[in-house]
Order: sequence, then structure tokens, then C-alpha cells
Amino acid sequence: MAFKPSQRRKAPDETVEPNITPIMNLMVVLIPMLLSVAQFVQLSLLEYTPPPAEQILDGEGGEGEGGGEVQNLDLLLNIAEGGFEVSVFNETKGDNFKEIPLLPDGTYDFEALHREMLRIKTDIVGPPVRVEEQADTTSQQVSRLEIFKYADANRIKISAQSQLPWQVLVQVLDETRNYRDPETRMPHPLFPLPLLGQIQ
Amino acid sequence: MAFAPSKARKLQTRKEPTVSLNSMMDMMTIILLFLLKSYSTSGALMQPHLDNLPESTVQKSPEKHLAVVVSERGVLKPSESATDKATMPILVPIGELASEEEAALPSLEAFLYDQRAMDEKLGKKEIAHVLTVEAAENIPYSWILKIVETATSVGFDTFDFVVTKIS
Repeated sequence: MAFKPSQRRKAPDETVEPNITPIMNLMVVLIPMLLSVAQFVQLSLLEYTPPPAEQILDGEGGEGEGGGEVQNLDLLLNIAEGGFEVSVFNETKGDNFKEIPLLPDGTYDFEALHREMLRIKTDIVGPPVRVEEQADTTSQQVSRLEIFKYADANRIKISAQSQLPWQVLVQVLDETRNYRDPETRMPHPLFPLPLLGQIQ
Repeated sequence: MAFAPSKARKLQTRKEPTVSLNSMMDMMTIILLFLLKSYSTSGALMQPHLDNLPESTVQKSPEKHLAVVVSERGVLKPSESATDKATMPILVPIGELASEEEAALPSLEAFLYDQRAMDEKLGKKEIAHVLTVEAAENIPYSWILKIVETATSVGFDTFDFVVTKIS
């Protein structure tokens, strides 16, 4: 004959809840701390280093390897009301002067500007004549300095009207600074040293 | 005559009423994960003061330097206590900034001189030469040029313009 089932076993199991108060305390500390350092908008810095005043006044022409005078590129970009005006060798007409009109919607044609910058860099400036390695005495880092046939091959003078919105100029600086190699997707410098001026 | 107290009631242990924290834990965990994802070391260095910064593809990470904010109120001085542009102290009033007669900004010049003098007084090895400029996207270009020219005359040679990063 089987035994009668125990009455105790029928008692319901009590669920044991873990004490989560210490974890909650930790959360209450962690969340404000993380909130203070969280970055919801990704910021970055657009660096601008104006050349020294004497360099602007004298121009950047120097002596070449054979002691001869090095020619200047004199790349100038005017941001006018009707569009961009790109000039090299200080010319205001011919092959070395190009006007990029506004798009039909009245905005600036940044893509055409980028194409023109790339054309000047590849067709007029060309590849570097030589590469020099420079050691920084403070950081002990070695940097590569590309020497082109034009002394001011990395520089672009940008002139704009006084009321031009800051966003337009930032976009212009983006388009003229560097380009991406279509095969490797690596960025290469176009004209990374701008000199900002104003159309009077 | 009162009834005798029930024996069953006497033996019954009273349970402490507790608040269920489970749902709050779930919520906290989600918030914590989200904040950990958006955690950034540069967030501690720089927080934007303006919500309409220009957009750029530039990739330079934020660095802590002397900073000014340029808005429709003029040139403002950001501080830990005043993070909103409406409460930030004005360094250059809008009249001086928008004036077409003045090429430089005397108020900003005085402020920058003071900052450099303070660096020298504190015996800092490197005197400030980098100025961080946080300007709204619709600010006229001439205002930026005025700030650059003024700061250059004081001895600043590098300008870091704060932008919103786009890919």
C-alpha cells in the first residue's frame, strides 16, 4: 500500500527575489556621469592657420634647385554672387580662368568646384618634384614634405563677400582641402593651406 | 465579552511590502547601454553651445583650448556655469561685430590680451596661441574674418572652427 502524499510538499514554493538595490544605486551614479560625457552630436575641428604677414606680402616664390626663381601658382577662388571664379597665375581670362555658375536652384556648384580643383592639381601642379622628410624636435615625429614645381602649390586664396553664410565657406574649404582616390578611397591633399580674404 | 484572538492570525508572519524594481532595472539597463554607446572621451572636452553649427567632412578630434562662441548676440564667452548661449557673457556686442567701419574688435583684443597675460602670470610653459571658434552656420563670413584678424594681431596663429562631423 502506498503512503499518503505529504501535506508539506503541497505548500507553494516561495519565489526569492534578488536584492537589486545596490545595482540600482550604481545605475543612479553611472547614468548622470555618462550623460555628462555623452556626445550626441559628433563634433570635429576645422583648422585654419593663416600664413605670417611677411609671407603674404613677399609672396611664396623662392629659389629652385638650380638657384633659379620658382614660379608661383597663385590659385585664387572668388566666391561671388553669381558663382565661383577660379583663377591661376593671376589670369582673369583664357584657359587659366574658369567661372562656375550657380546651379538652377540658386545654390553653389560644389561638385564642379571640386572637379576644377582636382584638374588644377593633376594637370597644372602635377606630381611632387621630390619628397623631404622633416623631424619634429618636440614630438620626435617624422613628417613627409612634398615639394612641387610651384612654391605655393598647397595654398589657395579664397575671397568671399562679407555677407556669405559661414556654412558655404566651410563647404568650400571641404571641397578644396583634399580628394579621395577612387580606387583606394584614401584621402590625398589638394590645396590644404587656405588664405581667407574678403571681396571689397 | 470579546472573542479570543484567532490562533491562525497570530501564527501568520506579516510580509514587508516591497516595491518591485524590476521594470525600473530594465529601463536603467537600456539607458545605460545607450549612454555607453554614445560615450566619447572628446565629449568631456567639448560640448556644443550652438545647435546650428556648420557641417563638414573634416576629421580632426576636439581639443581643449581657449574658446569663443559667435552667435546673433555677438561674440560670447563660454563657461562651465553658462552653457546656454542666452546666458553666456558677451565679449563683443553685436553692434561692434557687425560694424562695417571697424576691421578689428577692441573688446575681443582686450580679452585675448588678458588671457595671454594670465597664462604668463601662471607660469604656463606654452602661452595660448590656438583659438577655438564656435560659430553658427548662418553667421556672415566678415564676422569670422574680424575675429581671425583681431586674434592674429594679439599673437594667435591657429584657429580651430567647431563643425558638425558628416561622413
